[in-house]
Amino acid sequence: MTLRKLRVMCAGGDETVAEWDTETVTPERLAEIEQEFNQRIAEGWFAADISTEEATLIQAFRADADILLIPKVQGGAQGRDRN
Amino acid sequence: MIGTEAGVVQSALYPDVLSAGDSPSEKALELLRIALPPATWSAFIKTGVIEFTGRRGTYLISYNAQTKIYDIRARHCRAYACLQLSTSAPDYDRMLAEYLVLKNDEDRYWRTANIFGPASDVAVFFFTIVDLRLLVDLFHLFFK
Repeated sequence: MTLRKLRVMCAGGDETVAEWDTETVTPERLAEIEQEFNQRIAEGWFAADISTEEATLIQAFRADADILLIPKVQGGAQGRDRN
Repeated sequence: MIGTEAGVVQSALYPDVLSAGDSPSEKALELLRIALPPATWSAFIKTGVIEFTGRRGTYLISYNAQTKIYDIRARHCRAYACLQLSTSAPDYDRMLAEYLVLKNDEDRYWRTANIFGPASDVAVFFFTIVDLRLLVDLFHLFFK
């Protein structure tokens, strides 16, 4: 049994939006999860496979990976320093 | 949950994180532990910064300060970078996002982040002189 998760970063830390067992998950359920993934990517989010130390960015959904969805990044202001 | 060693160190560095229980910051810190390579995580819990060396420099990603970019050879700070998430999220999440972008696409990081040059030595010297002069004036005012 290998459990995998699709997580999204949010204001509350991170949230697991889907969890599946790679051996028992149905194709229908995987299609739903992939749809969620694709929707976020279309909105400008990017995704990383965090199952391994390499933590590579991925463009397409992978059922065998723990995936972290990260909101779009942008340049910030100079005044971040709080020291 | 976060390991004891990490907890002790983090509680010293950022007391708000561990005292709040299952807070957003604590969850983000746990995500950081999962996603970072063990050696990088170990270094982070000791120093409080994520260090990454790429082709264009060594980056020190901090919790509450701009990312410092060091020249690989000369080891002097050549720039500061500021990258933020487009939605509200704990700072540890922003640190992780910065690390992942740097690790996978350093050029994208440079295209996306706002990069600021460090203050020149001349400017630092000038403002130090001005500060000292103001301090002397202040002493004169109080002990006249």
